[in-house]
Amino acid sequence: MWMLITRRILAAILTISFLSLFVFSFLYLVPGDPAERILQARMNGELPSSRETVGVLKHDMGLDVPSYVLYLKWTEGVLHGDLGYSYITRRPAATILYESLQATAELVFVSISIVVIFGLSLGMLAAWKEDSRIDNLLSYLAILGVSIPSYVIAFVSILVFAVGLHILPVAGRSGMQSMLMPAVSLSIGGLAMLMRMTRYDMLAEMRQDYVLAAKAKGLSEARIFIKHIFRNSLPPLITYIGLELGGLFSGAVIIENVFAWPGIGRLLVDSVQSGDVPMVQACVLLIGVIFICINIIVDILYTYIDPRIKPEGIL
Amino acid sequence: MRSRIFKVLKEKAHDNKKIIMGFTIIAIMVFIALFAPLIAPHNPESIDLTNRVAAPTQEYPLGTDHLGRCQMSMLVFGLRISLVIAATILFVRVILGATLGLIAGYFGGSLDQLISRIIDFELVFPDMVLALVLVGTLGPGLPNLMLALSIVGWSKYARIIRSTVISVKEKGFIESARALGVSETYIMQRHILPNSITPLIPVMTLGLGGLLLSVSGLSFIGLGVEPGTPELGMMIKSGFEVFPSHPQLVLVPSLMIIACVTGFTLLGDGLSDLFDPRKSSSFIASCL
Repeated sequence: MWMLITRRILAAILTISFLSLFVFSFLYLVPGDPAERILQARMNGELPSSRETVGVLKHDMGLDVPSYVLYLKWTEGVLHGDLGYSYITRRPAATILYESLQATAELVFVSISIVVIFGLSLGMLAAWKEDSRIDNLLSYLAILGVSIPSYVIAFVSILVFAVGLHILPVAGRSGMQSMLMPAVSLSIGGLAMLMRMTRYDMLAEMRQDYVLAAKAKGLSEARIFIKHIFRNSLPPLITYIGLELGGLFSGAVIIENVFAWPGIGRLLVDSVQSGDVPMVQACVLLIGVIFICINIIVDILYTYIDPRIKPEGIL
Repeated sequence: MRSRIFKVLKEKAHDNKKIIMGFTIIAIMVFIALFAPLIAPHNPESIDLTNRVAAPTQEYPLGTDHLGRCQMSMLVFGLRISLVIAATILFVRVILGATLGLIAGYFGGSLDQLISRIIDFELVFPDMVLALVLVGTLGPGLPNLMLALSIVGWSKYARIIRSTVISVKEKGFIESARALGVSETYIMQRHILPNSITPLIPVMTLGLGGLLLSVSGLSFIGLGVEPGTPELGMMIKSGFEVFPSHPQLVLVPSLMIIACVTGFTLLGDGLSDLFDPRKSSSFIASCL
């Protein structure tokens, strides 16, 4: 177990270094001198007007060096929590990121709870009542749920609950009420997918021999269903829930823009649109690290639930 | 190979409701897209500020938007453009994924190790975030959008091809071909590739639906096609400016997207049941 965890963490460090290289290369993808961009970020977004001053400053700060040295310096800064300064607001990127992360984390937490609670229970219901009317209805609803863009659910719910019935606020972040529509719109797709998967996996598990053996032993249907079938179909579902947690972060990019939710997704789009490179780098780095952490946790949980599995891979 | 696929389809498709429904929806959509210039009553880009957000009339079957453009024509051309964009990106992804998967699976060894690591790295990141960042760095606009979405999202195709290639290359007929002195490239082109394509078909169908969602989503947040282009996501975005006073401008293009994606999901779902009914659910989940 500890072997596995150590290996996972080492692998994650490797992936994070990959990621940091990728993020650092953004500086080279946008027009202009990368060293000047770093300088600009350190100088609160403004470069001195004279070329000589820029040159002297670059030399003083040790920025007139080859790109790999620049990368190492940048990494050192990141490790000390220095993500540079936003070009637009001129505040430290780390601070802005922290504020946005709170808003997104709230939204994602509520959404993943909706996904897990309803996805698993509806999936179990469909598997329990296989080929009944309710199973058929749920399976078509699931296909629809996967195919509806989250923002369409958002529009319809705004029309009904905010404009029509006046019971929920149209947008913004002010308490639980404002959370309801964004969280539901964000979770429908994942919910539908998890429901389908739960049904599939449980049906596959029901056809196993041990189920027959358990029945022959005289265990009750419900007990077999929950204690054996459900438990054994959990590992792939947990992997999916982990992936979906990541998916919610990217789904939040769109939903946060519809509801003016002040989270990372909105920050990322705004920064991308205004060419605020340090902010974009900070957002991508953070989202990447979150993803990698989720992956490690999922893998460890996976072996915990099903000790037969020895996962291989680097992430 | 192709004849075998069609034979299976003919035998089994008629009692698979999902395939029939999905196929019908897609056939209608493709028909509309192909004959868009004949179906659309007006030029989708002609602006008439004297006739803004008009109710449906005989001349404008779905009314007009906030710039007086014919909603019906925009919808028809929008469908065409969205489908073309999604199909092109899918094509590039499949080519990229299949090539890398083929190389990794066929040659194995350290080349396989390297490619598999890249696949793992790509799989961890959601396509949407990567694409968003690439579009952000390269700048908004259709070419950059297509480029960004093409270089992400290929890893699932690579992974499928890689695993099928590994199982196919151990088959007897490959051994025989090699014994006959056939060149490696010829074996790959002629024997391995055709035998590895089948499992891709349902994934591609589901992937096309997913791409329609990504393209329209990116356009909707302003990082896709240029404003004014009749593309479904862009129509929703411009409708959003007069939302919620004129909800039809947002809801009609949304319904079009939902119909299309539902069609592809139904078809893809049905096809994957058909090709391999015992397929694990996580496989299907990774497709969208």
